[in-house]
This record gives sequence, C-alpha cells and structure tokens, in this order.
Amino acid sequence: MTIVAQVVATGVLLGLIYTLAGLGMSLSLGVLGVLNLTHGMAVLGGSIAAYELYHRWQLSPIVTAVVVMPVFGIVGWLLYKVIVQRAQAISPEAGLLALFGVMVMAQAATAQFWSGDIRSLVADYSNARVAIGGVAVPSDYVVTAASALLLLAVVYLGLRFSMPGRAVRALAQHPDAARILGVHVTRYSALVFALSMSLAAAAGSLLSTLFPFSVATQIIWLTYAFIVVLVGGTGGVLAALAGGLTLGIGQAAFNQLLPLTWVSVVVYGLLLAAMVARGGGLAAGKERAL
Amino acid sequence: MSATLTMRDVVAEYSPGQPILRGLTLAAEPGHLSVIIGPNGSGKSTALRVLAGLLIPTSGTVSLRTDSDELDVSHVPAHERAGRGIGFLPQGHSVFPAMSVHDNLLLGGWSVRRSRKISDAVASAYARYPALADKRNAPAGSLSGGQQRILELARSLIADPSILLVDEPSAGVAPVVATLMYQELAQLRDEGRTVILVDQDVRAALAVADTVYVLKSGAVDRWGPTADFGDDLDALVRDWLALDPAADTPHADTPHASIPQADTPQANYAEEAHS
Repeated sequence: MTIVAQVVATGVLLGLIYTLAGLGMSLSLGVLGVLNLTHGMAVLGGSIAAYELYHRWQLSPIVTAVVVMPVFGIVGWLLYKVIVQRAQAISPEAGLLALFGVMVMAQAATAQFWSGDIRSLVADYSNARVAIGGVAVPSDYVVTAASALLLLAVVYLGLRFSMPGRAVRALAQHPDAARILGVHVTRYSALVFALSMSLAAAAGSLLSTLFPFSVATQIIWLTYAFIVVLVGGTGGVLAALAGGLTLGIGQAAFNQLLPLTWVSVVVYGLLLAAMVARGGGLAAGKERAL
Repeated sequence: MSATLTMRDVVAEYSPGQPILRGLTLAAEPGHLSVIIGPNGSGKSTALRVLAGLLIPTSGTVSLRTDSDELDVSHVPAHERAGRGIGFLPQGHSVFPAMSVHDNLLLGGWSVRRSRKISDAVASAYARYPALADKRNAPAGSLSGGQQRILELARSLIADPSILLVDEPSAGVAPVVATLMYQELAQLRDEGRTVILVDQDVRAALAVADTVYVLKSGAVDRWGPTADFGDDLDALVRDWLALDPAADTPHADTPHASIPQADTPQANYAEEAHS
C-alpha cells in the first residue's frame, strides 16, 4: 500500500511538471496547428539559464523560470514572425521543415557554445524529503510541482476568464469567426507561439533541479511534450494535465516495476501506442478545440 | 450610427488570374435591406467576404461613409472593420463550439473593449433571445442548428454594428427559425442599420428586401427596388438554371437593367424608389 501511495504521489508531482513541459506544445499545435519542433530546445534553454544564473548569482531556478518567460517570449515571437508565419503560409509541411532546420541549428549552436556535457543543478531546496500523507517525497519534486501547478493555474484562469484568453480559444476553434469579431488573428497567433515558448522555457528552468540535462536531452523533452499532447489532446490546460499525469504516474509505476534502462523504452512505447490509438499520428493531436 | 457601404468596380479573386468578382458595383444605404441574389458561382458570398474584409480586392474600391466622414476601406482587414461598425454573419456555423454561449456573446464585444458596455449588450441579448439565456453555460456546439444561428446573430449585435452582412441566414435551419431570422433582419433595418443579405431562398429574401441586386458572373446583371422583381422571379430562377433558351441574353432592354455606376449616388435611387 505504501508503495502504491509512493508511486501515486511521485507520479502526480512528475505529472504536474510534465504537464507544464507539454502545455506549450499543446497551445502551439491546438491553436495554431504548428508542430513546434523547437519546443525541446526552449525547455533546454530554460534549464541552461537556470544553471548559469544559479552558478553566477545563486538565483533560484524558480526565479529564473519567471525571468526566462519574457526572454523566450520575445524569441518565440520573432521566430513566429520571421520564419513560422511565412513558412506556414506556403504549407504546413514547409513550416515543419523550417522549424526542423531551426531546431538543428539551435542544437548545433548550443553544443558549440555550451558544450555537449551533461550538467545537473542542485538547488537550496534539493536533498530533503517532505512527508505528504505518510509518503516521503523529494523536496525538489514538491517545490517544482507546486511552481508548475501555480503556473498552470494562471494559464488556465487566463484562458478561461479573460477576454484575451477567450480570443485565444476562439482562434483555436474558428479563426475566421474570431477575425470578423475583431480579433487580430496574426498578432494573437504570434502571441500564442510566444507564450508556448515561454512556458517551455519556464518548465526547463523548474525541472533543471530534477533531471540532468545536456544538448541531447532536448529530444527527450520534445518527445515528452508529444506524449502529453497525444495522450491528453489539445483541449487546453486540463487536457494537458490528463496527458501529463498519465505520463507521470505511468513513469513512476514503471520505475518500480522495471529496470531503469527499460523505462525509457516503455515511455516511448507509450508515445507509439498513443499515435496508433488516436490514428493519424502526431497530426491527430491537432484538435483545435481549446 | 448610420453608415453607407459601397463597392465600386470591384475585382476580386481567390487564385491569381481567376476573378470571381468582375467589376462589381453596388451600394447599401442606412435603413435599407439590400439583398444579393444570383445563381451558384455568381459571386454573392465572395461579395460579402470583400465587404467584410476577409478578401482584399485586386482592384476597385470599397468605401464606408458615416455621418462624419467617408473612408476607403478596400485594404482594411476584417478585424479592423469590426471596429468600424461592420458585422458579418458568414455562411454555415461560426459559433465557437467548445465555448459557452455566454463566452461566445462576450467575444461579440471584442471590438468594444468596454466591459460595462459589453455586459449591458449581453444582458440585452438574453432579453431579446430568451432561449440563449436558458443555455448560457452550455457549449455553443451543443445547441441546435437554429439556436446556433440565433446565437451568431445575437453575437454579431453585441458590438452594435451600423452595418450587418448576412450570408444565407436560413440555410439548414427549421422554418420557424428562418422566419425569426428574417423578422430580426427586418427589425434591424427598421432600427436604421444597413443590412446586406445574400440568400438562395429568393422569395423569403425578397419578402423583406428593399433593394435587389442580381449577380451574374461576378457583376451586377440587374438591380432595382424589390417591387419591380415580383413578376420576374420565376423567369430569373429559370435563367439561373439555364432552363430558358434566352438565358445568356443580356437584360439590356429590361426596365431595371442599368447597373449602378460609381458616380451614381445610391441615395438618388433610394429617393426615387420611395417617392
């Protein structure tokens, strides 16, 4: 019983973090129909920023998560306006290829300037355990998941109850109808892409204390974001939460049941299973019903 | 409040070199309901898309005259036209299906930006259409087709547009809803708004219209006051369906064959029609 509670507690905490890591992908795919292949690089960018700012100025990764949001928002906005919008105007495939090119270029540049070494970050709140309902969980999991939950709640409430949030949901469901009501569709599309990159970078900062990271791990976060979107769909924060919790609890369970080296195989198998079950592969995640 | 929307010699196309509108000229006055009819492919819905700003003309002008000034809005995008008092009900469903009825109505006030004014307008919409008030928290996609059409109309009125463009208001809805839609359009016209209607249901449209524009191959083939079209209706429809051997014969000798010219103020025509 204790093991089950341990798995559930760890899985929920992991799930909240994975939800945040996948929410940006859910937004870009669900609202814009853009499969953002640079998503993993934005997560890695947040982790690198957290690492550098912590070692230079002892800045907490939680503070860094707030700092990187506007920075990566600007990066995302520029990326959308300069490359994505133009490529998508030609065809979705052109957009995908353009983003693949940007991802490869950003990965190569990061490896060049930051090296391909694996790094890890031990924050002030790491290395302790917190008791939740009789189950002891690592303190950094709790702090990171709580920060993720706070950010998820802000995004959920913003999308649900603010006029710009309603405009974003309208854009996802019927762009032409949004346009004729006065929504500046081009501007809001760029803002949504910027927000998706901001959330990815914030997730990267928060989870930098939990997992070692290197240039190569950006692919893992890109894959995890795919899983969150495919399992939960693109129906907004709650759908991403369903995908993230499934992934988190599943991974926590597999960690108990399987040798560690097999966990990744099973997780990627989950991605494959989700693609087959939903039919249509990654494109099936694009429901445009935020 | 009052506004006149005019198209002059508009050419518009979706693909380069394949114009759908070929020099279309028409004008819609405040307090008038103008209906655009014509066979499939004549450019009716395209004309509305140009007027709404969803399609920018390759040549010609679209101008908006209000009490204070006259603006060339040919290249003004759709989202800005909403702020200039032009509302549009496109053909087919345009509600946001996963959003509540209430959220759909609130978004209707996007161009207003004053929350108090939006709240008052939404409250008025519930009073005007009680069926929507009963389902304010339901997803718009769960409403019947007719209720969705009413929601679209109510949503388009939240911003209090002076001009309303309506494409096929009765398509796919129950007769009782269609009747309500036409009554509402007539009411909006009587409130002094400019209403432009595109409709396949010619008889129903002409029953509420003041002015009729008949399109053929992307240009006005005939136009005039509704009363002058009553007897010709069957002939018109036969013409569209190419049942009449003289289908391709221009109506140059018909009393209302003259196409409104860019330099012919529609107001003059309106005065004549109502004298």
